[in-house]
Amino acid sequence: MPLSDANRTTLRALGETLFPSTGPTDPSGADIVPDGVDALVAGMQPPVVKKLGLVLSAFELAAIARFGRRFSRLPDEKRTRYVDGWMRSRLAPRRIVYRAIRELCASAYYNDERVWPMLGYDGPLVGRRAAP
Amino acid sequence: MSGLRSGRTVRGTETLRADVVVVGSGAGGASAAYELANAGLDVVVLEAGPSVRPEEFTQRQMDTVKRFYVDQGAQGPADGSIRVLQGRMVGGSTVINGEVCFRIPDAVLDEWAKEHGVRGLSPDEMRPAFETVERMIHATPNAGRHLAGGRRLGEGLAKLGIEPKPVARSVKDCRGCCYCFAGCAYGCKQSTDQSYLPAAFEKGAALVSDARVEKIVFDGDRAVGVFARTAEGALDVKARAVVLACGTIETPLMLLDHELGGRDVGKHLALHPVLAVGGLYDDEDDSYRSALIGTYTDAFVGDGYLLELATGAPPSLAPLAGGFGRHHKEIVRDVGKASIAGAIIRDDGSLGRVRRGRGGAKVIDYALDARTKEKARRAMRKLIEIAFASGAKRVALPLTIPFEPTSVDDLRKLDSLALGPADIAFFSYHPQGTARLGTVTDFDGAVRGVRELYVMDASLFPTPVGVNTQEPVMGVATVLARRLAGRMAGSVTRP
Repeated sequence: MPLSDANRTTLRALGETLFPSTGPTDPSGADIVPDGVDALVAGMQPPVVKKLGLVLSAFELAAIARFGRRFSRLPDEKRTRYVDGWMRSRLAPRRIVYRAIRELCASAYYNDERVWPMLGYDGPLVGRRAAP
Repeated sequence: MSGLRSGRTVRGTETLRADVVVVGSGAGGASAAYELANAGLDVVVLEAGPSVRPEEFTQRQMDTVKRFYVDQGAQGPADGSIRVLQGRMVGGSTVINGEVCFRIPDAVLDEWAKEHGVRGLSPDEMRPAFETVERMIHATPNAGRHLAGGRRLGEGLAKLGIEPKPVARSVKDCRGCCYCFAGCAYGCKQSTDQSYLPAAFEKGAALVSDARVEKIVFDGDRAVGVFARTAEGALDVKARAVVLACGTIETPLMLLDHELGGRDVGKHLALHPVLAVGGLYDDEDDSYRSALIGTYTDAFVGDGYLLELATGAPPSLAPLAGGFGRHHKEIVRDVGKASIAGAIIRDDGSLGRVRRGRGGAKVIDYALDARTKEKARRAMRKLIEIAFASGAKRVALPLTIPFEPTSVDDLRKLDSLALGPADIAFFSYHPQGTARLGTVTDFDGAVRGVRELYVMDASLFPTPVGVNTQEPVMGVATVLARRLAGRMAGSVTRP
C-alpha cells in the first residue's frame, strides 16, 4: 500500500529539514526520503501503513496551530523550529512521534547509495568485480 | 523424506509422520531436532519463514530487514522504546545475529536453581551440552584482525585498567566484512542453516520451510501432531511428541491461542535492552571492515550490564548520531571512523509481557523499572568515561533529545536526564522468559496440564541470562532434547 501524495509532500519537507544538503557531495533528504519511505513501507501490513499516514498528516497539520501554515509550506527556519519543538516537547507522545518519524526517515535516507559517499562508505563488497 | 523442502511445493493437504515434530528452526528448534535425530528418532521440523541461500544476502541491511526480519524490523511495544529484532527464515535469528558465543554464567544457573527451583540444569549438567554446541557451531575466540571491531573504545577501557577479552564467535573463515546483521553473504556464519540443520538432515531429519503452524493437534490431553498452512496447501503432521521452538514472542502466543500453560504464559518477558553508544574520532586509522563484534568485558556484570565492543557499516551507524539538520550532518560525516559499544542490560525485573490484543493482534508490553533505568544510566556514564579515555572527540548516545557530553565533567548532567520510553531508544536481540521453566512447563520443558508438548527455546529462561542468547538456548535445548530422546527410546509412549 503506497503513501498518499499529501504524505509524500510532508516527507519531502521532512527530508529537507532533517537531512539538509551541506555541499555538492551531500544530497538533500528531500530528494531521497519520500521514495525511500515508500519502499520501506511497501512490505508492511496495510493497517500499519495507514497509521503511519495518519501520524504524518497530524504532524503536517498541527503546524497550523503554531505557525498558521501546514508544515510543508513553512520556510526552512520555521520548519526547523517546528521539528525541534516536537523533539523537545514536554509531552511524551510528541517526542515518541518525533522519534518514530526521524527513525523512519533516517533508515530511508542513509540506506540510499547516493548518500554513501558523504559517509565515506564505498558500499557492499559482494558483486564487485575483482581488481584488475 | 529427509532434508529441506519448501512448503510452497505442497498441494492439497499432505500427511507426514514422525516421532517428533519441531516447530521452528532457530537456535532452539534446530539444536533440539539434531539431538533427537542423532538419538535415532524420526524428526520433522516446520519453519514459517523461507529458506535463504547466502548468495541472496546483498550486504544491504534494509534488504534483509524488509525481507527476513519479523515485522520488517519494527516489532516491539507501541511506544517504539525498544525494537525487538528477530529473524523469520530457516535458521531464525541465528542467521542475523552477531555470532557471539557465551555459555550461561554459573551464577545465573545457580539463581535458576535456588530462586526458581530449577532441577537438571546445573553447571555440571550443562557443561557437556555446551561442549557439543560449541563444536557444532564452531565457536572460536576472535584473533588478529577480528579483534579490531570497537578497538578504540577497547583502548579506552584498557586505560581504565580493564583489558577487553576476545569474543568467541560461531563462524568459519570469517572475512571481516561487518555485515553480520544483514545475513552472511559468504555462508561463513555457522547459523543453524549452515550447522545444526545439515547435520540433522544427515541423521534423517526433514524440514519444511514456508509452513506456518496454526494448530497443535491433541488426542485427549496428549499432543499428537500439528496442522500447518502453506501457500497453496496444508500439512497434517502426526507425531508422538510436539516441540515448540518458535521463540520467546511466538511460543507464548501459540500457547495462549490453545489456552495452554496456565496464567503465567506470556508474562515475565525480558528483552536484554541494548544501549548502543558511539565514540567518534578525528584520525583516519580505524576501519569498520572487521568482525562486527570484536571484544567484550564482563567487568560490569555486577553493575547490571555486559559490554561488547563493535563496529558497523556507516549506513547502519549513521541513524545513531543524534538530532537532525546541519549539526547532525556534521557528526555523521565521521561515522565511518566510529567505535561502537553495546551494553547488554540484564533486565531481571519481569518487565514485559506478550499477549493477544484486539482482533488477535500480537502485543508486546514492556517498560523499564527504576532499577533497570539505573543500570542503563550507569552503563552510559561508564561508556562516556571509556570514550573520553580513548581520545574520542564526541560521544553519540541513543537519546531522543541530543545530549552531547564534551568531557567527563558533563557526566553529572546524565543523572538528571529522564529515561522514559520517549527519551531513550533500545534494541533487543535477546527476548526471553515468557513460558518459564517451573511454572508454564516442568523442568523437562513439558507444558503443564497436557502431555507430550514441550517448549525448547528462550521462553523457558526463568531469568535473563545476561549474555547473548544463541548458545544458552542451544545448550538448554540440547539437554532437554537428549532427555526427551532418552525417554522416547525407553518406551513407546511416555507414562
